[in-house]
Amino acid sequence: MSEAHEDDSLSAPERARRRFLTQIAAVTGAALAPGMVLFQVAQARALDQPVSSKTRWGMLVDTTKCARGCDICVKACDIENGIHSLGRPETDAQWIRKVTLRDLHTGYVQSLPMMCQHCEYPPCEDVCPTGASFRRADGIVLVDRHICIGCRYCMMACPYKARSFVAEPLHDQVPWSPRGIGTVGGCTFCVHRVDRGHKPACVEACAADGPGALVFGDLMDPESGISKMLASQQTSEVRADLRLNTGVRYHGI
Amino acid sequence: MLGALVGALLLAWSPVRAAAPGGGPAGVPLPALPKATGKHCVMPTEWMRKNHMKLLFHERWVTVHDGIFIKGRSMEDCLSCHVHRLADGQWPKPTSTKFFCQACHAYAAVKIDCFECHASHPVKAPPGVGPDGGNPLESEARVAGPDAGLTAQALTPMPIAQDTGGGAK
Repeated sequence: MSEAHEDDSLSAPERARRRFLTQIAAVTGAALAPGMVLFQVAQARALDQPVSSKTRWGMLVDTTKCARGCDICVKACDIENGIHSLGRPETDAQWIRKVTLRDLHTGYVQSLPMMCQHCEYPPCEDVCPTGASFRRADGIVLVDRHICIGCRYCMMACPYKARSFVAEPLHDQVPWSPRGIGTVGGCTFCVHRVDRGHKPACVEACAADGPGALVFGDLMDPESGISKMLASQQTSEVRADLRLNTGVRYHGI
Repeated sequence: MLGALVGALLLAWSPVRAAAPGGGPAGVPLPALPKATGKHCVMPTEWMRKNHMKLLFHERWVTVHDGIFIKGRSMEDCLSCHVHRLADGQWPKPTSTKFFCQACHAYAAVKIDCFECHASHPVKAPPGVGPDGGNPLESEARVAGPDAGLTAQALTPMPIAQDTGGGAK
């Protein structure tokens, strides 16, 4: 094989390396030629621009790290969204909760957080008679309380029991998370934070004070941490049989 | 034609006209609006008096559904100019006529439910809480000391299999 056209002053490995890089460049160039957009890396959206479906927010829960008895994510959610117990646990609002699973045959017990799974095809949106339950373009499923009539169909439709109804007047809401009597609420992925480029409260708290079992990021960006983790390890949806394509995925269940 | 009629009616109703000498229905106290701080409103006062609900209706939709936040025009921005502590240091209740919105709405007998969900006064987010991100447990942990919160080392790793009965907690 003649390599006369290559620089003879280079060592053999260096020549091979150059050849490899040249080929890569050619291939990449060809792939980009039909007008692919290169600047679509994750960058904070300007707040005066609408959300777009070029982003889909998602979460990965590593249940092998999530510890029993730890409710740091729940506490963080409550503080962040101004959720207080009214002294009746059965009806208290609950946007995220800890669930304990036990394998009846082996006795293996595991613990995981359960909240709105931010489905691509949300049953809550399907059944909502007013359009109050909706999926934002970036994949976050929300309740528009302005048009919610409090019928609670969404609560019945949700396979994850992710939503709570507010039956009593509230007075201590926080400005960034409005919620009130006669409307349904649930996990918003801390949309007020995400819109400003921050992570949800549970993710921050779990990383800082807990076992670091929650990863949040953009599922549409192949370079994001969460996309890389999802591509490299086994994860599953809860109730995958429903084909809702949830935005929250679990590792280790 | 209809628009002009409605406009005329609104003008006749407006508190400014009613407050003019000789105006105002007898026996009904005119609304006393708390003075707003800030240089100017997002729109001229006269326009806001008649049309503020149009702004609220339009912008609540674009904010909730499209995630668009128009600078200076959030509910919080309204409150920061229009809601102030009373002389006794308390925030006015949104159902009280000392509350900016309710002052007029009581007079006009129009019920609003905005503050059943929205906070009715400005709130300063504690460190780690709110739209600027951070760990919401940060301030709690600092108050309670470093041993108060569970740490990763203190937590029992999975799996735990000593439970044998149902309803494991």
